[in-house]
Amino acid sequence: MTHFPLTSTLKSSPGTLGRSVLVAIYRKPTVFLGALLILAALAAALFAPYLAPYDPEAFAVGPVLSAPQPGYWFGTDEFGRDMVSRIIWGARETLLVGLLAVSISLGFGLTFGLLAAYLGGWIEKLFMRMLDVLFSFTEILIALACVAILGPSLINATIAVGIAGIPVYGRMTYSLVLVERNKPYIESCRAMGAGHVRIILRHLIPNITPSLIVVGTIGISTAILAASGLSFLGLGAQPPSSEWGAVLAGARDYFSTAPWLLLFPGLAITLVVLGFNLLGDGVRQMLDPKQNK
Amino acid sequence: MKFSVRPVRAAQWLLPSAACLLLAAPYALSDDTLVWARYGDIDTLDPHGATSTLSMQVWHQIYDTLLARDSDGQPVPNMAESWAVSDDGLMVSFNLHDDILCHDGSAFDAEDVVYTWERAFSDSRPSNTQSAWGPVTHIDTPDSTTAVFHFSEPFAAFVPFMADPFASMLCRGNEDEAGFGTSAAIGTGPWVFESWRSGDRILLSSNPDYINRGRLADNPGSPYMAELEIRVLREGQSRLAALRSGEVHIAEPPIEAVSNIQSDAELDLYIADNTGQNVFIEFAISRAPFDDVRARRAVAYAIDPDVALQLAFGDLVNREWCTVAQGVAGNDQDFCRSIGYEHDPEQARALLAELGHDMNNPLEVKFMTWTGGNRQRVLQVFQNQLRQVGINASLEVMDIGSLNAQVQTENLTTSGRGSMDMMGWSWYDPDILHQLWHSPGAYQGYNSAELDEMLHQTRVLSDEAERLAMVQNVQQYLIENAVHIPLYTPGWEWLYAARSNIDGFIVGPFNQPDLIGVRLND
Amino acid sequence: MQSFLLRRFGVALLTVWVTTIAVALLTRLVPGDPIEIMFAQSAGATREQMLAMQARLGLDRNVVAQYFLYLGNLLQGDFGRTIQGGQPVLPLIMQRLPNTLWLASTALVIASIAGVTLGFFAAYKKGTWVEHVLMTSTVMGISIPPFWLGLILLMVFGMQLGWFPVAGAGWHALVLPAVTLAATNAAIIGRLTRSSMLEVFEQEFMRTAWSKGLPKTTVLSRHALRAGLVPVVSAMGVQFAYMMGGAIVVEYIFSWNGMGTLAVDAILRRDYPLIQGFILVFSVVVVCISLLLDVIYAALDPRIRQGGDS
Repeated sequence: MTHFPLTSTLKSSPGTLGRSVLVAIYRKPTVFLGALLILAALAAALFAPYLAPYDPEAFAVGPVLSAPQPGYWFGTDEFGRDMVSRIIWGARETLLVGLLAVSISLGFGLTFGLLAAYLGGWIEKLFMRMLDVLFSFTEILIALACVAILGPSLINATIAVGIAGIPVYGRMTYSLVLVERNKPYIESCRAMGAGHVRIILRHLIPNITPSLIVVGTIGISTAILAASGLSFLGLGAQPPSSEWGAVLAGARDYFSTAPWLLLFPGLAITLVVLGFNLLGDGVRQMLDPKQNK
Repeated sequence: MKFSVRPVRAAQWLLPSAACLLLAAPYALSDDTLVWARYGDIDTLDPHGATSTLSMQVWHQIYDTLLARDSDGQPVPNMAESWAVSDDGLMVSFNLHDDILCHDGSAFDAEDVVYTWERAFSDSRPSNTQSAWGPVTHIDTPDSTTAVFHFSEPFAAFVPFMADPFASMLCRGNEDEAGFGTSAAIGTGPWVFESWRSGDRILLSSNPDYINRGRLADNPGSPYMAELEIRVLREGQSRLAALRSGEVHIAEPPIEAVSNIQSDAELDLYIADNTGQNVFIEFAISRAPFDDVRARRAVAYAIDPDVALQLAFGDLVNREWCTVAQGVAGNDQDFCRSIGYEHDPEQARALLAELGHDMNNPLEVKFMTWTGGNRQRVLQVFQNQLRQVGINASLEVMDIGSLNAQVQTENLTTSGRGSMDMMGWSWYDPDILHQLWHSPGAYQGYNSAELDEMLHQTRVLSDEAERLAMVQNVQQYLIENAVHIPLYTPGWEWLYAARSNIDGFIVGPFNQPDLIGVRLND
Repeated sequence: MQSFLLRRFGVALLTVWVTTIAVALLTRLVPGDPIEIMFAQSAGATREQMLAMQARLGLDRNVVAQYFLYLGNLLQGDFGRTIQGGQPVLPLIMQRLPNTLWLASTALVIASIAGVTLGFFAAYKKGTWVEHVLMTSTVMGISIPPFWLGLILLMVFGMQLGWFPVAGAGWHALVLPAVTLAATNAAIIGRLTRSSMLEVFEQEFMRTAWSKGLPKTTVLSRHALRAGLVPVVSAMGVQFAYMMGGAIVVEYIFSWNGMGTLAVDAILRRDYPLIQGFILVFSVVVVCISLLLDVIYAALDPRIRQGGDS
């Protein structure tokens, strides 16, 4: 589910999208904060080997179950592993899962939605009915069913979240293409003898891309939440993975004795998700004419 | 428009009711109900339908067994006042007490023994532990208090099995109960089944007709408490909180909280010993690298269980050197240790070097275990130790059912990455080794004609000393070939915390809590 | 109204039908032999038992025959038996269903009240710091992982302050899970209410109401709120579905004895008959209640009642 529905095609081309993002960051402090959070997470993910003070899976780099203290700012876990290092390395897995899941949703959603809207006819009808059905299932049920079939692992959880998101992006693409399809320029392209493939690749896709990027940005936050939720239930990443949901699941046993183990991974998820939500929402508001009146 | 949702009004209504919720008194207990909280639920009330410890411990309350166990785990008379094994070992006869009543009021007699056995051996729904009965061919009932089991071959492990909850005696009345196993369970045990709300609680009541003939509990008759409620509280912290508040009397504590419990004057800690539980490492021997004994031995030398156990459990478990666990006949720590593997990373590296692996070219393997009991922590320590010698183990932790399936699948797979797992089995007799390792074996794993013959002998040798000598031969074979690498005992559900006003709580051998003699003091 | 309801009813039927197909074929999609996977769990399973189960599930036949076998059993109320323990699936699920419904509907009430209040004030105080604070809090609400929020609430209100039990059943044990479950949706409802209220405030009839000099509370509650709530109420069905989905995770954290806890355990144990039953019951319940909410909404909304389609 994406919590920020688009009301219409964003008034933007891929070229101006970048500029709009910069303007939004400059003008709105919340968007700036969002961008900052995402940058921080990206930096952690990319430069984990240089940033992390310790090997995230190495035992006894510090005392066992130590509260936050200089040198171990987020404390240590039951094996004396450094939580700062685990969180930094975990950013890698967490972000990757979010990106991969959204790519799956977006890839399939785009294909189905576009074909349905462009081709019309019985394909469109079938697509619409399938969407109705899939939306009644709710995403979590689809994800759970996928995990039940594939078995618990981080990659399977990612696939499950990705599949569960297909209807959202399918419907989004569908409604965006529907608007574009009826615009006069498509008609004139066709009149000038442009083929379907050309129209789709050269006109439709570029025109709906900015909207999809914005929705996808917000979608990453949903995907991260869903995947870390599955890991937390034991249906995703397995120990000793430092994926944040899995770290949180392991910390559950130390609920009363070492609460900091719960605090930091949860905070990390919240902040990254917040980052994507703030950035995506801010840019959407800039570009969405209806919201921006 | 017809909407009349008024947030302000609604809030006015909601606030007082929220306040009421805050003030609501916590759940109050009747003085006559004993509450025992565990992390999970039973699978079924049918003793033939599951193998979990959680289920077995409840069957032990509802049903009774022909024999019981003394504090050393040896069989003693119970529902049967005596038993006799024929010289050729092909007949075992039991003399039943003639005053045993089923919970439905009918008398328990030899026909019920036949009913129980026939049900365990039925084609449509045989018992999950059918093989534990051995090669029983039929039962004679010369009179209503005599049951004679006939065997096609001697089976040394049969008599101890008759004291196990898997051999719980069922009453014929269950035959007419459509809901047997779910909403009905008629036995002869100390507690009568009242209700089961799955995932939540089981309610039992004291059996007024019960006569304690062989159980360890200090109570000759029916349980002192009027009711027994066995509740599911999944989170260790919740169980502890409920125990502290008095909502629960007995509960399995989270391992992390044990030291707090030991220093808490209001709570007592009970540690089950002689549980028969054995946690060990086994391998997929069907393919490389673990088809080579050197790879298996390398693992055994590389790990340091003492360190892992200390980190995961403190002093709450014992190192186990034998393939049959402490409490089971044939367990001899000194003997097993003399043939076992002391932590020796150098030796491990040397063995791996022979196989062409070192730190730069590590051996990649999969290492699995099942969820709970801090086992994934043990595995993480092992993973770390294996890495020091050049073995990269990727961990997989799953439900016990999935693990059983996975181990079998791995054993049947002939190519791909090597696989090993930390498995746990609990049994009251060395016959466990036959069940695990006699081909095809529990998981279609290790097959060896030499081992099979030795295992067969442990079943048919009727002289106890000869049998035990053979058990030692089997253990030696398994350890020297690094087929079964013992790690520790107990392994699961062996800790109990009780409020200190609880008297008479006993955890018998093989982790069977007895609640017949429990009283609440003020 | 009729066309709207007919369409909704059609979708509901279609959904249930598709679910039965998906669920029946679920065991076919499992990598490896599902029967082997199921039975490796019970140490004493015999070859006969496995063959019997294979026949029971129709896995020895073609897909179509398997489907009709499954459907036939379903129609007789036979959802199969669990692998672990052999318990009948349907009663097992039905025992837990009320707990889940109880949790989801309480959370829906909390989320609606909190969300509408929040969204209303954010719109009413448009452009002020109040709006900024409220809207930022909704973004926070959407961003906090429910499973983490639940743990934090449990730690603070359950363990530290001891106001609520950390697990159990009954009213006082319901508060923390319901609040956890409501948090995200309160934020969503809040955003929805705000944008809908903003539109309402701009409309002609509002200016008329103000110009008539009616008291402020009358204008706001009688006119603005009623109109502004239409899209919110129309989304109730969807909201409820998400509550049911969210309940799966929240139940697990709070050891709430509902369908979600049962389902997660079933997945971890690969108890396929139970997983199948869960998916089926879950989607039927969600579809029926969403349909019910839509019918109520249609009955209340004059535009739909008069034959328009929304």
